[in-house]
Amino acid sequence: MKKFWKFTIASIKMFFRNRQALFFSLFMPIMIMVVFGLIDFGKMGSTRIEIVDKAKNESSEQFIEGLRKVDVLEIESTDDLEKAKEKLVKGDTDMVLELDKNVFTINPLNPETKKVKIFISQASIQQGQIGVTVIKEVFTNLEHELTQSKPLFEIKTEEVSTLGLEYIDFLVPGIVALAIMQMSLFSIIFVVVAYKKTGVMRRLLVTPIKSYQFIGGQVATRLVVSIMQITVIILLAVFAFNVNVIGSYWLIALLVFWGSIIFLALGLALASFAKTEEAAAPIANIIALPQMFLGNVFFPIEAMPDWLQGIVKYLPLNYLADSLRKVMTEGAGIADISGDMWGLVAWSVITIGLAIIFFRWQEE
Amino acid sequence: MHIIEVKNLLKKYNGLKAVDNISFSVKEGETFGILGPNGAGKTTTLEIIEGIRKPSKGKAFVDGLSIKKDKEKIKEIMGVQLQSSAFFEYLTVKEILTLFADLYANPADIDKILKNVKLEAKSKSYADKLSGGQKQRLSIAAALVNNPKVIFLDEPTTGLDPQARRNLWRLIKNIQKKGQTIVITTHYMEEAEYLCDRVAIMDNGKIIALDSPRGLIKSSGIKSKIMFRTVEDIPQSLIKTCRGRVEKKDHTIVIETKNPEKGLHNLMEYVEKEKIEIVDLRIMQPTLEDVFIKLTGKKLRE
Repeated sequence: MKKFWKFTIASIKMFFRNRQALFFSLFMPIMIMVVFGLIDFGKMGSTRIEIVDKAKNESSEQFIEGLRKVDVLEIESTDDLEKAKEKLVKGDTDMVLELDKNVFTINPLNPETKKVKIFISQASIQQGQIGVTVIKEVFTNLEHELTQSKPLFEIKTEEVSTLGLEYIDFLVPGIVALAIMQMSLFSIIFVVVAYKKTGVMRRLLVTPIKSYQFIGGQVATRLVVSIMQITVIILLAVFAFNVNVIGSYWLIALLVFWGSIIFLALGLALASFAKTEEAAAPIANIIALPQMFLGNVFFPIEAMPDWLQGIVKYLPLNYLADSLRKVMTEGAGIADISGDMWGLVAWSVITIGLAIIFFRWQEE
Repeated sequence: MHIIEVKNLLKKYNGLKAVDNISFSVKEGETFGILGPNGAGKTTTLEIIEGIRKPSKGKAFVDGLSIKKDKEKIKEIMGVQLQSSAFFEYLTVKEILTLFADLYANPADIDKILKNVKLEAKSKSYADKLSGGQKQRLSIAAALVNNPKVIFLDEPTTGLDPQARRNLWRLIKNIQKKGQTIVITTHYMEEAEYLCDRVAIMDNGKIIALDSPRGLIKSSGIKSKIMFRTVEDIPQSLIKTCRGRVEKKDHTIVIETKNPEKGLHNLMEYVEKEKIEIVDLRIMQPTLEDVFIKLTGKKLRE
C-alpha cells in the first residue's frame, strides 16, 4: 500500500507539472462548454418580429413589452414600415406586425373591429406561421380581457418534466461525460506508450513494484484529475451558465469514477497496440471521435435515424452521458438510471477484461 | 561463494540463438565484465538474469535464488542500470531516486548516493535537463537505492565523451571498494581491462574466453611489440641481437616478443655499447582487442 501511495503521489506531481497536459485536460472541456454554451440553440427556432408601432402610446408600449417576454419571439420595433418590409424581404426578420395609430383606442361600450396587419415572407414561412399563431393568441386573450367575456374553451397544455431546460442543461452532462472519456483514454495511452518507448516501464520492471501498484497509481492519478476537472466544469456551469444541477452529487461522483474506470481500462488495453506516441493518438481517436459525435454529448441520440440509434445507444459514452444527464437535470436516483447502470456494468467487464488480456509491461 | 550462477542458458528469437548455451559464475565482490561486439548477446544475457526476459532453456541463480521461481526476491537484492533507460519527466533527480528507493524494503540514504555519484548540485533538476554523463550517473544512482548485493551495468559508458567516461569509471571504482558485486557489459576493451577482475568475451551468443584481463592476454600468446626508429642505417648486428620476430621498414624497427621487459633490457644494453642513436621508443602490449581479433578474426567495433 505504501508503494502504491508513493507512486500515486509522484504521478500526480508529474501530471500537475506538465502544463501542456494540464491545459488540455482542464481547460479544453471548459472551452468547449463555453463555446457551445454561448450559442443559444433555443433561439434558433424562434421568430423574429419587426413591430411597426404607429400608435406610440402607453398601451402599445405595454403590448410590445409583453411580447418581448414571450420566449420564442425576438422583438424589434421601428417606425418605418417600408424599412421593416425590406428587412422581411432580405430575410433579416420573419414577420412584420403593423400597429395602427388607434389600434388600442377602444371604446368598450361600442367596440369596433380594429385591423392589425401582419406581413410574412415565403422565405421563412414556418417562423412566420409560429409568429402569426402567437400574435393571434395574444390578441384573443387581449380581447377577452377587454370585453370581460369568458372564453368558451380553454386549452390547457401541460409539459412533462422539461423543468425549464435549455440547451446548456443538456450540454453540461454531455461535456462531463466527454471530459471523462478524453481524460481517461488519452492520458493513460500516452503515458503508457511513452514509458514503454523510453524504457521507464522496463526500469520499473526490475524493481519490486507490482503491476497493480503501477496501474493503481496511474488510475488513482487520473481519478483525482477527473474529479477536479468535473468539479470545475460543474462549478462553471452552475455559476456562469445558471445550470441547475438537481441530482445527488454523490451519484454524480460515482458515475464520474465509474466512467473513468471504464475508459482507463480501455486505454490500458489500447496502449498495447501503439508502439509510439504518434501512433497512440489515432488509435485513441478511433475510439473517441465517433463517440464524441454519436455518444449523446452535443445532441440527443433521439435526433438520429432509427437504425443509427439502435447502434449508438450501446456506446459506453451514451450510457455515461445519459445517466449523468438524468441525474444532473432530472434528479434521477439509482433506480431511475438502472438501464444505463447495466450498460456501464457490461462495459466495465468488457474493458477491464481487455486490459487484463492486452496490458503488457514490455514487448517481448 | 558464487553470487551468480548461470547454467546452459539459451535464448532463441525466431529460431536465431541470441544466447547460445552459455555457463559462467560470478564470485561475490568481483567485477565481472561481459565484453563483445554489438549483437553478441551481452544485453540479452544480462536481461535474462535481471528477469526482464525469459530464457528458452537453462538456469540461472542470483545469490542462490532461481531467476524462474524467486524473481521477486532477486529484485530486492539487485540494482539495475539499463542500456536505454529514461526516467520520469517532471520529477527532479532527488524525487526520482526517492521514488525508486521507496519501492524497496531496505532503501539506502539518498543524500549519500547523490554525493557518491556527484549529483548533489543537480538534485533539484529535472532528469531530462541533465547532460549525457549526468544521466548515466543518475541511472547508476538509481541502481544503488536498495543497497544491492549485485549491480548490473549495461554498457554504462556507451555514447559518452572520453572525459565523462573516465568520470564514470572512477565512480564504478568507488562502488567496487564497498564490496558490491558488479556485472558490466561493454564493447570497450579499455573499460573491461580497467574495471574488471574477470572478463567473459562473447561473440555470436557464445562465451569464447573467460579469465582475468591479464590472463586472457597471456593465454592468447599474443606478443608485445617494441618499436623504435634509428637515425642512421640499421646495422645488421642489431637485428641479430633482438630475439624474436623483427620487422624492418626503412629506419623503423618492430620487435615482437613474449617478454618485453627482457627484450628492452637487451636492446638498451646493445645500443649503449654500440653508440646507436634511437628515437620514438615505444612498447605496445597486447590488449583485449588483440585477443578478440585473434579469437574471432574481427574487430570489436565494426
